[in-house]
Amino acid sequence: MSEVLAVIREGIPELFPGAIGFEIATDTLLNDIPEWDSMTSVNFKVFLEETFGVTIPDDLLEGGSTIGEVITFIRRVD
Amino acid sequence: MKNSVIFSTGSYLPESAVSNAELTHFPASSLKLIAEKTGILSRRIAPEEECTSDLAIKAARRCLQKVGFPVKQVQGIVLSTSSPDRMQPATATRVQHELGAINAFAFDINSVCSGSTYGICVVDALIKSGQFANILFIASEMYSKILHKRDFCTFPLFGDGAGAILFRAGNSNRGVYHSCLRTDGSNSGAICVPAGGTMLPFEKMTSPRMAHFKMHGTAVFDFATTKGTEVILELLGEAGMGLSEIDWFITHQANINIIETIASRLNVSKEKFLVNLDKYGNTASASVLVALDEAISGNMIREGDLVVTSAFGGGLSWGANLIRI
Repeated sequence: MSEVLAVIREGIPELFPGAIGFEIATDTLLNDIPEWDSMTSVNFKVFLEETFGVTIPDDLLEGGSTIGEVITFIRRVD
Repeated sequence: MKNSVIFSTGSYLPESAVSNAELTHFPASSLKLIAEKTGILSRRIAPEEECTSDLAIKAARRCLQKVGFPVKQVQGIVLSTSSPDRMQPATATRVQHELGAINAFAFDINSVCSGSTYGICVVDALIKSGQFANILFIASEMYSKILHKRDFCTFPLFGDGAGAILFRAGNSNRGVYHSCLRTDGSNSGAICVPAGGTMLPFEKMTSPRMAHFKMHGTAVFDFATTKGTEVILELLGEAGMGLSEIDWFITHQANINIIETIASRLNVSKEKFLVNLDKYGNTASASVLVALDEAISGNMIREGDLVVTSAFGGGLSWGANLIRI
């Protein structure tokens, strides 16, 4: 969990410039990430797919999910 | 004092049109968002071997050839670009050379997407100074080469293109009546290319993305709709004119929702706002000049029409011009 979380923590400020300094934890809702919207979520999807080599289902990134649920999905598929 | 009269216009868009559906390097399920969120259906992408000055040269040639204006009589070239050929020298210098405008000075201005309104104001002031009888103003952008190709928040939104206006000193009631320029540098990071300058040289980048254009989408939308509306009202207030006297509005072509919000807040029919972003995307500072040229060439805007041009972008900066065509 912590290794995937570390990679996501490193990637988010680059994908969401407004999230610099925002604390990312496993219980963080995607909707709560500054500048999270339907457009920026596509960048997050591309980032996850390229970084972890998995296909992320769209409904996982609809905003109500937590970072922890995303990590659980990645670890299950990986 | 003479007026700065629009004597001719021209524009150039690269031939290659890339539709949203052709942006296959993004997830297929996301592509419908582009049209839904912005109104953009397609954009023009320049060939790999071309650079910003190539587009500028083609737009300028069309502008001059349209009225048979001898290039050697051009006294100055002012080029707006936020995607220059190189950090230095000015992109305008290659344009001057390739055009053969050997008697023209040439320099760049960079006010990102609002460069059209800034350039018109600068050229107007130079002509009104009495020192120059004509100046060629060009806005040329090639964002396809400064965007990160995997950034869904920017890459699908922009296109390449260039527009040109030949201004001449004249005695008629035509010309630039008034300009408003505004800047708020407190939010300069909202729209920027972080690396490549003295603030963050390339060798100190911690990520390749820092060499590419970035934009805080939500904040920029709010800024554009607020300041894009205010500046038109300020322009007309300072000029002592009313909205009802304006025949056409040409705002920066960034997003159809921004244009429609501005029209709604001004309580002006959106039919008076020219739109070409569906075909070309956001061509940054070139967008207003391209739209102006298309409207004049297509006889939509005619001599004597009163036009407001307005734009907003990085800086943050915004501005507007009131022009009798």
